[in-house]
Amino acid sequence: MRNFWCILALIIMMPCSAMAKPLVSDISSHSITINTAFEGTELMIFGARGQPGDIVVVVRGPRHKVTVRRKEKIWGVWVNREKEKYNNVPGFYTLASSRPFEEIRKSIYFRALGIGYDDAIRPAMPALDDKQLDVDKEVRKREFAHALLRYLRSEWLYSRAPTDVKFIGETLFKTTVPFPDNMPRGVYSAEVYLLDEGEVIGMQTIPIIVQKSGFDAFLYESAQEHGYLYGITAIALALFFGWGASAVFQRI
Amino acid sequence: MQVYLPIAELSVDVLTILMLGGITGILSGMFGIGGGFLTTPMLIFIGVPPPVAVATSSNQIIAASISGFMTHWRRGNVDFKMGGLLLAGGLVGSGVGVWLFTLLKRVGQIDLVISLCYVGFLSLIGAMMLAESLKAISGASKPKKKTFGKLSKQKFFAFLPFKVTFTQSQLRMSALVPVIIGTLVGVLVSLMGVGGGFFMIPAMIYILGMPASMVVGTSLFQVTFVSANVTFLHAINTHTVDIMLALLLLIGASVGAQIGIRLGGKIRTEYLRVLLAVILLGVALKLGMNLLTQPDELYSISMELMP
Repeated sequence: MRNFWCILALIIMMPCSAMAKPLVSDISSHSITINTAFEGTELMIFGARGQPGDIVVVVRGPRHKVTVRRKEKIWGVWVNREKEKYNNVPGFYTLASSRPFEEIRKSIYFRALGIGYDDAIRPAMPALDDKQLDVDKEVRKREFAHALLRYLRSEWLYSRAPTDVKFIGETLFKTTVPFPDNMPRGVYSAEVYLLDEGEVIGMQTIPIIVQKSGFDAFLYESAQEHGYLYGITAIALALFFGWGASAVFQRI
Repeated sequence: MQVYLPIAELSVDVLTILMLGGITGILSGMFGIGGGFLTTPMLIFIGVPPPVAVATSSNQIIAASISGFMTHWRRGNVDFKMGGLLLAGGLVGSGVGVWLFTLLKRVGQIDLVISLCYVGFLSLIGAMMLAESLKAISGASKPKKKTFGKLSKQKFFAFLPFKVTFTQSQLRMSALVPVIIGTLVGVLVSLMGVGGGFFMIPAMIYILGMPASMVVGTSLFQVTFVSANVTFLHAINTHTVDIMLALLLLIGASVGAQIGIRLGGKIRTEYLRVLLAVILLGVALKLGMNLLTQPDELYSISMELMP
């Protein structure tokens, strides 16, 4: 919080030449550490606009490779059958705007940039190619993408920020973005857009590093990165405890 | 008290897991069966992903079988020559099994295969156990000597090469027989996260014709090392061994096993055996129903961080 006021003071005292920049913004913390007791957190994104216009803030998580599978009934048993793969799916997505997003005039670049709650995974979708336009395939790709969005929303990984971007006076703005406890680790980006009648006139991207810490994270990392050592440790622990327990109980 | 399982990526109640380990421990102490057949499905029921349940259960089985193996070793009840050949097969089989596991996981069918294996084997074992114990309770049949198998299989396997003499078990047969049995059991063990005693002990008695005194110790010897191999292979291939979960389970199981051994000596186990058979059948039914009823969510999603 102190950080916030310091930066705010800096912005206000900034000389006019710096103010010529259409948009200046920052975030209350550039990193989030997830430990065992982590129950989610909030970050504040704030800044100043050099000219009037709407502010849209998008926070995007690290890119994931996603496989969506659908179960079908085969011989009475529900079995995973068809699948669709998506690349570059953000593992987290949230959007906040200074006016209800529906009322803001959209730039033609919005969909391509993946700005908009419903277009969150748009960049992961393949571009429509007229030559290979296969309606069935396209419909299926959409259906599976819907299921993916539904999942991400139910896990609170994709959301609209509950608080809008608020203005303080004419130039200053701030918003609070909540992060759930199951947020994936990786490099996030907070993107702040200044829009004038559907045109992007200012944009700034701020990275946020999200990492796990503590014993759990250590175990997880070891299992993923050092399988040999992890396996040997697991075996040694089991031998030690199994043997130890029988030795202890033989004396009782 | 809640604890977070880093590999299963799930928060669980410590007491639930300790009790789960304890119950399987009691059963193994009473009936001499490994707990894997119950641990894995129970873990799946509380929400642990099936691949994690299987790999972690293998890890816990090492702890469960080492103490039994040591005891039998001290008493000279382990046929190392036979056990070694079974183990050689088991190492190959579990290698194949984990490879198959990794492949199935990649194509999204591992959960199904694990469930199917359990439904099949739990119903089979449950039904056999139920029939046997009901027979024992009614006292209709005296345990008859099963000599027919011993003679026939010796002849049946006579054509196979690499004859070896097993002095401890007083047998002479082709080394290929135990190696093949070990291999087949090894595949099942790594797919299901069980010790394999359920398959191994009947195979040793009826196919190999080993003396009863040698069976349990030799099986435990083989199980200890095959489970260690399965754990290791899962750790380097599928990354699904949860040390935290395994530790909680084995603490519960080792206490439970001692209680089970003491209880087993005091009370008649026939009725409990019926109960165990019913439990196994119940678990098979529950897993089977899960496969047959339409799931709430038809879509399943797996996400992987891109480099």
